[in-house]
Parts: sequence; structure tokens; C-alpha cells
Amino acid sequence: MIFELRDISFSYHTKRVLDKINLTVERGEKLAIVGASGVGKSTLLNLLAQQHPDDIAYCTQERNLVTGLSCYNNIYLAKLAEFGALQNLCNLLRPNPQELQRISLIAEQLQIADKLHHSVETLSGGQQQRVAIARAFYQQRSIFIGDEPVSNLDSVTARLVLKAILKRHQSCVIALHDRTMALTYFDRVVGLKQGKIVIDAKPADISMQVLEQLYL
Amino acid sequence: MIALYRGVSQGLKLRNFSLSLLLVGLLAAMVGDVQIYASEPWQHLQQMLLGLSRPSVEQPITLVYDLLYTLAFALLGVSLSVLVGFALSLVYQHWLVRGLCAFFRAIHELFWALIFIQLFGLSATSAILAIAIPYACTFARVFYDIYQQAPLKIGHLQRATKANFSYFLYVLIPQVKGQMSAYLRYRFECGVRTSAVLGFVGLPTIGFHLETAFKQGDYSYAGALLLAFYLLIASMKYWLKLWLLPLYLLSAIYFLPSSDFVNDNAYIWRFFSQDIWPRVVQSTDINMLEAVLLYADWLLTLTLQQGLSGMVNTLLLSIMAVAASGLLAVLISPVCAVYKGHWLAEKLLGSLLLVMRSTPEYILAFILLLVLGPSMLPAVVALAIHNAGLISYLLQRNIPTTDSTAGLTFSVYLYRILPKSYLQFISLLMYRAEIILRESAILGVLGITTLGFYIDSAFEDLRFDRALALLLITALLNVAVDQFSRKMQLLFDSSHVRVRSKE
Repeated sequence: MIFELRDISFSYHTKRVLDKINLTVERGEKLAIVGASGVGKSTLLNLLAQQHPDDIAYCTQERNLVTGLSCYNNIYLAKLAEFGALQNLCNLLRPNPQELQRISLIAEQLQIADKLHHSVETLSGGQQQRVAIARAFYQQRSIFIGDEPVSNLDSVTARLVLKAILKRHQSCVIALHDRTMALTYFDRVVGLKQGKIVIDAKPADISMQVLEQLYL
Repeated sequence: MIALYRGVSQGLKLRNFSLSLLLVGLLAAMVGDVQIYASEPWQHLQQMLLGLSRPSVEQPITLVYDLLYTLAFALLGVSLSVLVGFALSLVYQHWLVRGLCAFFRAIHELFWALIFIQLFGLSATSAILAIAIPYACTFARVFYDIYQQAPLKIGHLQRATKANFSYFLYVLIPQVKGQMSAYLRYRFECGVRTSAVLGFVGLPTIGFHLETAFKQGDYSYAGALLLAFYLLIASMKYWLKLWLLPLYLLSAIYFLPSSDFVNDNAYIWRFFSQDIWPRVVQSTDINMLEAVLLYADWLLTLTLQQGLSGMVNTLLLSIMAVAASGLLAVLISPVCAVYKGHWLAEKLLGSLLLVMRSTPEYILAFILLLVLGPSMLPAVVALAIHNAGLISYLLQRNIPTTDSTAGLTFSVYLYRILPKSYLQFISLLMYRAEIILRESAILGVLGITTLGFYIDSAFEDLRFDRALALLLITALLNVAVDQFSRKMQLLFDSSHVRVRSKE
């Protein structure tokens, strides 16, 4: 078991966002969280991400990319704390060959290799999203938490990237809008409505109609 | 007073604020001395303009050296201040650093020059230090403010508590480097202006010969000096490149004027241990407490005799200047907006704004004083011209040059541009208020009875004890006004217009 929430509620000011949530996630599980906008998906992910931050690569919706910095350095940024200040300074002046190679491999897989040395704000929304995912890959963590990580990609690329995410991480908790992808690639789907878990089952046991109900 | 700002809309608040500012300015003009003392000002002005329009130089080499020294002092002073200011900006959250910076930058470059000239003579050291100290303190605050405005904060990223320096390099600097370099460029332009003004206290920059030329009535030469100065500022964007900076710095050091002035350490020590303290506290047979009491008594007398009148006049001049700057900018800005996109008109207005903002207030006031006579009027006009030029320039820069604005009429300006830019205008004006106060104090050196007048007289009489005490009063007044103008700015709380952070 890697995550456990028992009777957890959460409010922003007076608005209750999560209402007595019970959720456990086992090691090796790939879990999709679905639900309409504003039902508390991001809040739930935030709570999970706090549980053991050192094992988690967390891709938030904000992406947290640094404008004015190249894609390569934006990805490298994830491991700043692991290198010395001097090495970081040198890498800024000239990319460290070893890390550049590692990051290039990741970038090729995500189809952004040609943009590696471009400033991040010159990229399209979809490309920026993949830079954020590349940053998560570069950390080589066992757990991936993602908040709509592929929402800005075309459906072909989205599937490709999602498969890569699932393959690279032992356990995944990903919030998604795309119901088909949730049912196709995950081994468990959790549905949220008004801050409560209303669905928690294997994809084989859920019909598309039930999922559609979440959005009404 | 506060009820006035509880307008229904932001627009109403801004209108009330602008009108009350104008009213206060008018009241100040009724109390202050704004008469024209010269007997035939228009004739004199005509004569002056005629001379200025026919620039001529007898010895071009002197002019070249003037320009070189002006540039060299500015380059070295600003570069030094960037290094120190950057270091200070990293520890600026500390109250002590913040306080010291506020205090040091409240003292004008010319006052610093007057102090350093006592110590190092009319030398390059005095000029460079006079620029570097207040500029470093300004850089510290502005860089710190810029860091605060970076959209992505270090706290947003995981594990940011470790590796602080690396996060600074990777997260903060990339986001703000554009803003920082733009500010550096602007500040260098200010440095050249300051350097020019330092000539008025005897340092070998362009201001030195400018003062002489004007006083001797050699307006053609003055015209040539001013023209050279404008060309220098206008051409800056073509030659001021970061990669050329090392070359410039080396040449600046090479070209620095040498000074025969030698000051031994004993004299410098005497300056700090004796000269800057009044005689009453220097007697050896009094203890610490008695010394403090005697100093306080002496300070009170000085304040009543000179400080108070200096303070009142400085404030009166500042208030008039702020109101006049605002009024002038309100008149110029729509003209600039309407003619934006019209090729010739835009170029002409652009040059006008350039001349307005790049003529140092001090030089403008000096010229107008010769024409109008020694009242506050020339100082008000000079401050208004300089600041309105700068504010209008900054405002019109933000108006996009699209096809739709090419046909911009006054009505469109009123309804589409003004609502957006007015808040920024007030913000800029309040920001300039602190700078206007610094300048009001310094204009006293020209003979207007603001604080600078008393400070300059104290230096001339070699009464360094008085000079120091009056400088302290000036600096404290400046810090107080800065805090006040910050509060005024915050009355219009806006997230999208922020000239500085909310300390």
C-alpha cells in the first residue's frame, strides 16, 4: 500500500471540496481519476502528493515551467538539489554531456528533442506540457501523479505519451478528462462527484454510460 | 479626506485624487514664492534660444574630453553600483539592509559629491563614489522588487528548500533577466545625466563647461554642449551592448582624469573625528551623556534656524512640482497617443520627449533661473518638464502600434486608452514624488532656499558639522515622503500595475 486516505475532508475557506474520502492505492496500481471540473480532483492529488514527496514525480496543471530558460534546463531543474551549486552553474553555461544525453533520450520519446535548446515560452501549449512530463521522467521516481498531463495533446500523441508515463512508473495516479483513455489504459478508475467518491472499480466493470453520469 | 477616496468606481477615486492633488499644488503655489524677479525675462530667453540654436565650438577637443569623462564616470560608477546593488538585493529582506539602503539613496548624488570632494578632492574617485553609493542602494531595492514580481515562485517547485543558490540561478534569474537588463539600460542613462550634473560642483564633466558657458552668456557654446549631450543619450541604444561592456570599462579606466590632489589619512581621520561634529561636543571634560544632550540642543537650534525653513520650502516645491508634472503629462499624453503612427509627427514628439526627459532637472532649473530670477518658479517648471517628459514617454510606450490605433482620435483615446493607462499614470507620478523631493532639496544648491541651499552654504563655510546634520534631516524627510507616497499608491490597489512592491 502506497497511499491511504481515511475519512478525509478538505475545505477552501467555507467551500467543502472533499467530503469524507476513503482511498487506498497499492504499489503497482495504475489509477485514473475522473470527474467534472471543480469536483476536487486536483485537491485529492495534492493530498496524495504530500504523503511521500521523495518518491513521487508530480505533474501539476500549472506545469511550473520557468520562462526565459531553455527546455533542457527546465527539465534539468528537477534534479537541482541533487547536484552541487558549482555543477549547476557550469551546466547553465554549457550543458553537462552526461545529463544532456539522458534528457535527449527522454525528449526523443516525447517528440520534443528538436526543441530542447529553445526557450520554453516559444513552445506551443502541447509542447510545454511534454516538457513538464519530461521533467517528471528525468526524476526517475517510482510513483507518478499527474493532473491532466496530456490534456493539450492531439489524441494520437496523447495516447503515446500516456503509455510512456504508465510504462516508466511502477504506480500512477492520474486525473483525466478523457473517459475512453481512462477505461483503456488503467487498471482502476475512481470517479468523483461533488467531493465524494462515487465510482471505484476495474474498467471492465464500468460502462461508459456510468462514467458519463459523472459529468451531468 | 479618506471619504474622498471611497468613490463608487476606481475611475471616480482616480478623478478625486487627481483633483485634490491639483488643489494642493495650487495651495502650495499661493504660499510659496513663485514670482518672476528678472526685469526682462522674455528678451533674455529669446537671446538665449537664439544662441542655443546656433551651436558652435572653438575647441572641439575640450568637448570630446568632457564627453569622455562624463561617460567614464557614469560607466564605472554604474557598474560598481550594479555589483554592490545585486549583492545587497539578495539580503534586502533584512530590515537593517532595507533601512540603510533607504537612507543612503535618500541622499542625492550631488550631496555625496560634496562630501567626497572634501575627502578626495575634485578627482575621479569622488565622482565614481558619488554615483555608485546611491545607485547601489536603488539597484538593491529595484532588483528585489523585480524578484518579487517573478510569476513562478521558488516555493511552487518541489524540494526548493535545499540548493537555494541553484534555484536562484535556474528559477528566478531566467524569469527576471529581461526586466533587469531593461532597468540597467535605463539606469545607465540616468548615470550619464548624473555624471553631467556633477560638473556643476566642479568635477570635470560636461556640466562644468556648461555652467561656465551659460554664466558667461556664451550660448552658442552651451548649445553645442547640450546638442552633443543629447546625441550621446539618443545614440546610446546603438552602442550600449553588453558584450562591448568589458572594452568600455577598460577604456574608461584608461581615460580617467588624473588628479594631483593628495589627501593624507590624518586629514581624512580628522574629518570624521572632528570636522563633522559641532564644537560644543568636542570638549574633553564632558561625558557621553552630556555630549549627547549638548548635540541634541545644538541640533534643535540648527533645525529651528535653518532646517525647518529648508524643509518647508523643499516640501512646497515638491508638491508644486508633482502637481505641475501631473498636469503637463495629462496634456502631453493624449497628443502623443493621437499622433502615434503618423511618421513625422511621431518622430518630432519622440524627440521632444527625449529632450524633455534627458535634460537633467538640475541643468534645466539652472537655465530657467538665469532667465526668471531666483524664486521657486524656475525649479517647478524644470521639474515639471523633466518628469512629465519621462512619464509621457513611459505611458506612450505601452500603447500598441497596431493599424487600429493609427486612426486614433481624441475620443477613442478618452474611452479606450485613458482608462487603461490612467492608473499607471498615477502610479508613476507617486513613484516620481520621492525622486522629485530629492531633486527639490538639491536644487537649493542653485540658490532656491530649499534644504540644499543650507547644505551647500554649510559646505562653503567649511561648517561640516552643520552640513552633516542638515543632510541627515534631508535624508529622513525623503524616507518619510517615500513611505507616504507608497501609501498613496496603495490606495489604488491594483494587481496589474505595480511600480514597486508593497513593503
